[in-house]
Amino acid sequence: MDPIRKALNEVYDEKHFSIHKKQDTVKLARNVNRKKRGAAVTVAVTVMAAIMLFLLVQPAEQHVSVSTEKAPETVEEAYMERFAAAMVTDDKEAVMTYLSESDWLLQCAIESGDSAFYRSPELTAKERKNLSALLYYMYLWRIEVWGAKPPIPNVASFDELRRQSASFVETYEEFFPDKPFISSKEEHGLLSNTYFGTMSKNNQWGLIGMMAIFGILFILNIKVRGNLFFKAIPLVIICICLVPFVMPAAEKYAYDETSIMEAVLNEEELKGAHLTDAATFGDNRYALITTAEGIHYFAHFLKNENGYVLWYTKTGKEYMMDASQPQWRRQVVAVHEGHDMSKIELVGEYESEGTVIPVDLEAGKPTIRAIVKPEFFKSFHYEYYNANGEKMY
Amino acid sequence: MESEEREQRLIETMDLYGDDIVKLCYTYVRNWQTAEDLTQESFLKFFRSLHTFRGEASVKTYLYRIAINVCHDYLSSWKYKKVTITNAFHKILRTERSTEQVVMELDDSKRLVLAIEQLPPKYKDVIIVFHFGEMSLEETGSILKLPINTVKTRLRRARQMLGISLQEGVE
Repeated sequence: MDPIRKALNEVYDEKHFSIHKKQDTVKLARNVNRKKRGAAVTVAVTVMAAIMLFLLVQPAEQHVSVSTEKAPETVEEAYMERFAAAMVTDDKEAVMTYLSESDWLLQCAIESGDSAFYRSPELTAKERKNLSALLYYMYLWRIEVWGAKPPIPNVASFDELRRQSASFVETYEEFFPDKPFISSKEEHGLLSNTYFGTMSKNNQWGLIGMMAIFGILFILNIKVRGNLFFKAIPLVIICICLVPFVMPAAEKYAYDETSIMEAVLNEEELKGAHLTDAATFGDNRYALITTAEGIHYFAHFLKNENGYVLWYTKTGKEYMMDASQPQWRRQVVAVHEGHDMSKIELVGEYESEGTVIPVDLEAGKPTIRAIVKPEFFKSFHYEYYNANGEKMY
Repeated sequence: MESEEREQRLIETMDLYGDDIVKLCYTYVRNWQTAEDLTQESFLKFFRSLHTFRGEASVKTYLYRIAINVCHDYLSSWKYKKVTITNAFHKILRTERSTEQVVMELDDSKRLVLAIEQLPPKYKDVIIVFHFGEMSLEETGSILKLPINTVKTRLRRARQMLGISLQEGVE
């Protein structure tokens, strides 16, 4: 016998693998299969729970109520007024006035049928969508084609417009195949409620790639002998990577009146306020909000690849607030409820001296107007007129 | 392989190699309770992998490989390091006799075994597999995943450390 084996057997002579331990081993071996089944069930349940959690992260219910003191108008009246304005082609001033106003609140009212700004008639879902789309396309036609006659005939009543709205929308769609109408419901549906959904595509792929790499690393690590702590590191990193999938989106998007209020109230940490007006001009969305204490907020939302996100808010007690859109040569003029102005003028200075752009207002009524300025109109100041037409300040 | 058949195979293997494996584990951990636990873990691993065991190596070779890996895992675990630190404290407190004093009082076999127990793991591996397991150089290399020349070198150095001169099949 090998001398080392002999020595080990001599010294360890009395030591054996005990019968008790053998029986215990057999018992544990019998449980191995059961444990495997248990582990498989645990993994399956965890995966299912994760999928369920992911699917359950749907857009949260809105609990913010919208209140407005703007006098409710009927959809029919407001719609026919806008339709008539959209049909005008030969009066430049009328076209400019039409373009300076937004149809967005009216669109939202037609779509939802439940607006604080307009009393809505009984309409079918299809009619709601078509009438809303028609407003969008009529405005687009004026922006894109400017003075050309619209491709649809004039109609005298709202009922006739309801009946023909589908064919009118089809006509416009042929002109703008690359600029389809997106309803606020669809806009909401496109938004992601999770942080992951708001990340750029590159970052999303980067995150998924990282999870895949650490997943592979984790699987390889399981087979390698080593410290459990180091084996767990890839798992911890994967868990961290999963956070954006369940974390709510940091940015609040404005896709209707309620979401506008929610975004502004959150941002400004306000407990209560009411929306008095809102407007959308291309990639810019604006809202006027007033608190019970008489503090005014002018919120500007900017469109990114996901939707309209809050960009900034102007706050103060003054009634008039403005914003510039230099790329569109637009000047957005907003007046809060309770103002006493009948007109604001944009008065040219220096190279644009002598040019005056008037903005007619109704005293007390909150209004948002987007003024398209002539190219040379770069320097100007505002002049204000009271309800009697007298210059203020 | 059916579960009853696997269970029967496990019992037979434990009867045949259980004592050897427990002794092998003891040389690494120097605690009989722990050695038995590691032996049990080795047999459970053997049982779990029975369905993938293709019989290319003998059961003994396969079992030695598992047992040595289990011992290495234990030695690199936090649990073992914690026990070692605690024991070191106890030794200091007890002002135990030195290893030299203990060795002087032992007979040749005990002295040899004590020296084996105190070998660094990589030398202990080759001594245990080659001598205690009575395996060939090829089998030793296969179990430890080492080239034959490395096995030879380590065996030579291990023997030098043990202060013995054995020649079988090595030089």
